[in-house]
Amino acid sequence: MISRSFAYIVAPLLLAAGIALSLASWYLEPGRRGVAAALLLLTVGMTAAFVFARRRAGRHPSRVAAGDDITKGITFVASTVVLALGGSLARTAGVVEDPDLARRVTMIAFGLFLFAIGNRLPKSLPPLSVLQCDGARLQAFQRLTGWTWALTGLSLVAVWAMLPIAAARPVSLMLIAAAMVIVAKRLLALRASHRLAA
Amino acid sequence: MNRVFKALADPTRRRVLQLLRDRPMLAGELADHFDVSKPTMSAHFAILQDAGLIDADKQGRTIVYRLKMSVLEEALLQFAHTLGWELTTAERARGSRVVKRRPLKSGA
Repeated sequence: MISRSFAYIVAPLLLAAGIALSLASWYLEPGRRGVAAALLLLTVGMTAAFVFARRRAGRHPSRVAAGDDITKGITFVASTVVLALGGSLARTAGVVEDPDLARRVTMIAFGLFLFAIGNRLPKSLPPLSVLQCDGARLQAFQRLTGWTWALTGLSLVAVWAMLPIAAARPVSLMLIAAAMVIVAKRLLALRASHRLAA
Repeated sequence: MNRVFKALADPTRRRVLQLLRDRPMLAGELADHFDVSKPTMSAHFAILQDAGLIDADKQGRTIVYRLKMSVLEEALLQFAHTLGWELTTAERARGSRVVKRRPLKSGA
């Protein structure tokens, strides 16, 4: 979903913005200092992870790939933090009047994040030589999980973009719970088939 | 993305992807489903691999092919199959990546 070079340019910018907005929220929104502190810690932690991943990447392809995945994940999470804090500060400053805008934007970003994770999931294949179960069953599991999370992510985007807040919250919780049940049920079936085969 | 479109524009390659949806398959097993020469099948596999839609796992002297499609790519495959995207003869000759829509054929 995010190209490699784009993520490497945007990630540090988003992290810097996240730290600045967390500090601004700490000073300007005294009632939300707990949230601001938690987000500041999260952003600082992600910055450390980003620096560590870049230093460790080296030239080995597997390390480069791992560094790319970490950077893309950080880009997604940092953009969600920036959107949430930006929306909240905009409301505090009186730029935005809708009190639910920040929450809506955050949940829509979360939905997109779930979609991106689900979309990529069927592509991450372990080597057949290390598989401890039937390759066909694992493939079916990965496809179902990918489709489930991708559709859940898109549904969350639609729910938080269109439904009133009072309805969006329970509906999104139900959607996530249903997705987890589907995936867990299929995972248990996969484990059972592995035990039978063993 | 152009590679993906090119890979999905051929009905044989789409059929390969549909067969791989069920389970990973050996190269020979897959080739048995088609009435084309082995070099032609190898070329199809190479295009699909180049587009990142399948994965080849070498096990001894055999090659096992597995589906490696994201959710979006799989949706695109279904879309291409439904609309019957195909390369035109001229595009095929010059190796163009442009695809043309053809009307839906029954049993396609």
